[in-house]
Amino acid sequence: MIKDITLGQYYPAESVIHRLDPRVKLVVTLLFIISLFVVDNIPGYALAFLFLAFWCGLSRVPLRFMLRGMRTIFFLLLMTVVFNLFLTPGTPLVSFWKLTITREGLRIALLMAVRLVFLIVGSSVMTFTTTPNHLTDALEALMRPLKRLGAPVHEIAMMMSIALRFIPILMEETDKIMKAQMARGADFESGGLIRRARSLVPLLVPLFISAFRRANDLALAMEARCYHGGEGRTRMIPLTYHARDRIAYGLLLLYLILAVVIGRDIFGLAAAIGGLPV
Amino acid sequence: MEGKIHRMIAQARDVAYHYIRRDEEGRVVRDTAALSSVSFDIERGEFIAILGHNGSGKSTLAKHLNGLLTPGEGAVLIEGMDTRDGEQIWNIRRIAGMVFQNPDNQIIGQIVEEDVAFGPENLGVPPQEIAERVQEALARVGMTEKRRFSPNKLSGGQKQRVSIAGVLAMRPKILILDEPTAMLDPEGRREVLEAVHSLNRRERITVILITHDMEEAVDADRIYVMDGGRIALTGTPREVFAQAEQLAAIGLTVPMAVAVAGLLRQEGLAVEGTPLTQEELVEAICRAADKITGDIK
Repeated sequence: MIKDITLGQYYPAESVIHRLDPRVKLVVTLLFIISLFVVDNIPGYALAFLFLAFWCGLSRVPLRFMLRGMRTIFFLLLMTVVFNLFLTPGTPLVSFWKLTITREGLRIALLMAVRLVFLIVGSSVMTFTTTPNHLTDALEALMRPLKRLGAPVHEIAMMMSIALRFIPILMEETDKIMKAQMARGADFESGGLIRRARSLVPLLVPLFISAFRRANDLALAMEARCYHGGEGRTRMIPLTYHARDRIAYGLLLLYLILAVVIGRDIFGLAAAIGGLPV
Repeated sequence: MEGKIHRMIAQARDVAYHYIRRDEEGRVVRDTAALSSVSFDIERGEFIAILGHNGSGKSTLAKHLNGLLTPGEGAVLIEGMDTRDGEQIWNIRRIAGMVFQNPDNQIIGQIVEEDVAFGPENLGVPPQEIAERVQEALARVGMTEKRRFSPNKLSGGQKQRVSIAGVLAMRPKILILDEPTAMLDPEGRREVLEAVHSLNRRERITVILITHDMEEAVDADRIYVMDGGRIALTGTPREVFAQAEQLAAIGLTVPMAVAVAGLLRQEGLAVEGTPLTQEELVEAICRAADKITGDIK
């Protein structure tokens, strides 16, 4: 049963976004997130919303899956909104008891909320449409320039993919050890949080020992299969850019230019029209 | 000499290896001899079984055959290449592929195909050829259908066949299997042994099977029995299993058929020879019985 857990949250579907090169998806996600912190007016966010809607729509991942990610950050979102709403000094809007909502507070709270929601949805598109393996491949490819500075890029990527491979195996092992200890009277369920946490300690020792043993075996097996680092290594399916990837980069560039121009109101258009809130 | 090197695919010359444990100051705390004066010659296309109980040095010997360990004394030659030669080490590991005991701890990829590709990727094979090799290797062990599966969804026997495919994709000449069935159920054990035997028979790949299961050694061309880091007995399965007392002395049993024949002889039934399989045993008993009825007549 525990074997069946899928890692990450890959949602298998046939879509353009699924087929995009993982490097493109990583770059789009990163720059989109940055763009959210660059723009600071309503037309800017409207643009970001359009881009996000386009990005999500193409991915064919159902909206409810996207919004599921919201649950994990709900409290963070709530706190951000509440604190910004009541603690920002400025022109009072409403005031009751000791609390005052200011015009500036309302604006910042709304912007922060929108930013957070966009950020989560935007990055979940990447995790929904990219297998963990492709992600590590993309990370390795994009970090390659850092190799010149002496960063062990290939090794980091290899560690990530091995970790991903072994998480389900170690989960299963944890399950086995737990059952073995429960059979001898260990109690993992009763007591408060601290007591339950403490009862996990005897679980960790055998788990660590077994993990080290596995690591040793795996290292031998890798060496036996001629693994000697990233030097001279080829890939069965190398990452190659296709036309769709170039188009995606083009659209991203267009979006970024517009985001800066509109979102930062470079030409003072909004001010010139006068009506739009800044 | 030249001819001999070509015929012998793997050779060991007086190999000795010690596991040495040192304390913080580098003083030797314990010195265990895992191998001492081990010598053998293995011919191209042979099926060799190395038998021995735990701690007999058989796994240490296996690790010498592809340079994971290098001999303290003596030499191991694979196709004439010395395993201590750092220049040749990747060549040696490509030629002598190794499959380990625990299937979970030797699968690196998250998808069967990806794992089989790992070896050729390390060798720097061009992408198109890797894909071909992966396909071919999976077909050779009958795992083509599962090529897109996660290894976690396979049975033990299937995982072990994937491990074999991962080695085959490097196009080895020798397949070293270090207790490949020890963690498998009977069904998985049968699957793996069948795959290995078919590779040996059909493609003449040299197989070196390390095992402590006597029944697995019955079909080998030759057997080496290890005890205390030395080769205690050697010969064809029939020759080795005929020496039941010597095997018993080092804590090993004989295959079921051999044991039954021995017991029958003790009881006075003249079962001849060393029957290795159930069929041979039945025949030998029938012959003995015929003789008795013939004598009575």
